[in-house]
Amino acid sequence: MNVDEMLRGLLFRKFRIGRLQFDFLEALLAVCITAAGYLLRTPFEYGPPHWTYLLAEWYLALASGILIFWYTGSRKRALGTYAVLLVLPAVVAEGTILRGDACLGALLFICALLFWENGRRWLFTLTAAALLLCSVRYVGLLAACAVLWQNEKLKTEQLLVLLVSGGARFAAAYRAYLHAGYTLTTFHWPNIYEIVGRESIQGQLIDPIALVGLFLTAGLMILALWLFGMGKVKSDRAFLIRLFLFFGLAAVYFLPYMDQSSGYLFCILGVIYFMLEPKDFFVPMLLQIAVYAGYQECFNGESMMPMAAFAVVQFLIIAYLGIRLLQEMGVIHIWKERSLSTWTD
Amino acid sequence: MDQYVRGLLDRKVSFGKHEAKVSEWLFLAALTALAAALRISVRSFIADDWSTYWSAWLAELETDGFKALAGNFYDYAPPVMYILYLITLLPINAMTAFKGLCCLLELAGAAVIAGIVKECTGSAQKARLSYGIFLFLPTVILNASVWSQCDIIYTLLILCSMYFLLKNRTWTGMWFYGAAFAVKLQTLFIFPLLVILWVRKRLDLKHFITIPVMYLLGILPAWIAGRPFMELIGIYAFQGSKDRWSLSIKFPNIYQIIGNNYFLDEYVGAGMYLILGILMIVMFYMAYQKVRVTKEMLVLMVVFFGILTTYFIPHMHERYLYVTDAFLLIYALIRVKRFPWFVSSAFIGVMGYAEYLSKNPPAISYGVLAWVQLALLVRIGLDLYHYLHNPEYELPARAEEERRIL
Repeated sequence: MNVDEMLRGLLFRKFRIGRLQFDFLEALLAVCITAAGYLLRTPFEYGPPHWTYLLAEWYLALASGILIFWYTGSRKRALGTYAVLLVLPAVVAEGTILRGDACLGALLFICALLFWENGRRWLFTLTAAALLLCSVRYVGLLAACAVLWQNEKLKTEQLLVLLVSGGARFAAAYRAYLHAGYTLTTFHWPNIYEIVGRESIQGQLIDPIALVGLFLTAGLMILALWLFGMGKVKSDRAFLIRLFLFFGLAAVYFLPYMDQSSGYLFCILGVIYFMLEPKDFFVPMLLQIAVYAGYQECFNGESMMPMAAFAVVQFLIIAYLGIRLLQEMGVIHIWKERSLSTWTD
Repeated sequence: MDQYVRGLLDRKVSFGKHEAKVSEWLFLAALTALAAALRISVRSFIADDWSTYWSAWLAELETDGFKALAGNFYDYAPPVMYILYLITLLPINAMTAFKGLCCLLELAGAAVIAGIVKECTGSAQKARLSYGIFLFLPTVILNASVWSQCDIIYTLLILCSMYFLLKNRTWTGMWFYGAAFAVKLQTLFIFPLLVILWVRKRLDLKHFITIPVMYLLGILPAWIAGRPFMELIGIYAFQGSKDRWSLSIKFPNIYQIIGNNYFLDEYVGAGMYLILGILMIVMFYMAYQKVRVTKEMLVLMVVFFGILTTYFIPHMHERYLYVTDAFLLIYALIRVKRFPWFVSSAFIGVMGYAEYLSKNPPAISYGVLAWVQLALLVRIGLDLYHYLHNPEYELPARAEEERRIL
């Protein structure tokens, strides 16, 4: 056998360590992408990357890889998830450049999804409640959980725990935000306020734009819950991730005072979603560009393209996810059957 | 008379191995003459690059002759300087000679493109069409005849490389690839393709020796002239550190969307590691797809890697899609439905050229063009994905792979 054949054979040769079986090429990618992920962070540091953030991001990539392995049973997809998340620009921007804590939230939610997959609903609930207590930017996930509760995937007491933790954080956060005298209604996060105008109204007792935005979000969420309540939740994993993506993104799209880190978790979920639905590759791709544009504006103080353009891109993603969910849940079918003009109960 | 002319036009004439009607030869001759006339008419344009760099290099070479190659006044690969040195020996205007040489290479490039199209599609009509389109492609005309750039040199070598690889003349193809690398670093944009060909048994490790050998041969005369060996080895590294004033130099890539004027030093490293990571993932995915490697796939992979790498590597210039455009033309003639994408890519390229030459800001912002370029990348990526998953090309798991491009 010549060297070429030997090396090619080695690439696809199977190895086994305990219960773990893998190809040499898979191990090679795992090692090389970990090195690339480490090196990708070094240009932004004076010394080696900060080990806490590095470790948290590595663990996030690993946990997401495991989640995909549980979902699909495919080692290659799991490795792909791990690889993509290690070099995902939004992850590097948050942890390495900004030293932000969004990784912690993402890690909590991935753990929650792992518990969900295991059938441990209470552990899911407690982890999700911890996440909701972490930051108000995750409040949209609460609405997704409410849809799951409507379809009896969650118990009432579990929803109550989530409502209390999410509600408490929401009330505390907006009590502070609304009295902080912020001059902007969005901080480098391309959402609706980048389209309608992000400057707050100053010199008044209240900022009507932010206040209207706040109640608009609450109203839209309740309307969405009513709408989604007509349909049936599907049991596949892609549906679940799509549901969390839709409600999570929709909430931070309309809530005032959101910052660039609001998209972090959804970038991670976007990658997981892509591994389950490769045909929807444009969702994580466009989301990543829009989210990174927010980070970029945060670092630089200005954006290369108008942030409104990225806000439109985000809106299109949310609309696409929402319509797909409504189609899958059969809501659109129900609406077509009961024409609005003749609709009676 | 009418009958005679028609008969004459329909008569078949052989030129070497190629046989065609007189009318078709006339068509090619007219195209060539028109392309030459166009290039002659714009030859007197003096671009900034010529007055700033090329003429200064020529002055050094004229003063010190071959020994001038020992100096470090140039940052291009030495083979380009040898061409300039030879030009100084000619009794004609240096710029005219340089542009004239590039125009001849463009004709050769058009002929090789026609050859590849004929090889891939079997259609002589499409081959002639590709010959004409390449010669009249605005970026091709502007690159050498107006701007005095020499991207055609390495593009021609890459075209020859792919032509011979398609013909399953692996060694010849790889010698041409090595020669292209000796001329321009941008040859590496499509290097992942060779790795995939190695995994799929179309290349062996021994074929890769052509790259360092040709590079060493390329720098040998400059070394003999007296330039330190280590400096010659590192000439590409020096090139990479030159354009640090912007992350994208009129090139529609990701930096035109997220911002190209900040984190200039940090993004150089980060951008390189990012594309390295992306290429690892893409190559990993492709290595597992056991498919028949056809001529179409080879062309498609050149286009894909050409667009993918330039979309993420920092400091890209507007000219760096030259090779990709040539192969996109070939691909558009293999899959005619993709022709509008080729047109849009050519248009995107012209915007950068126009800004450089006219010094006016582009009518359409580079951010918008970068989105179009992203759409092109997605389209080509999807074509490759569909190719890899087309049952027609899939090989059974235990099937022995053919060691040639089909």
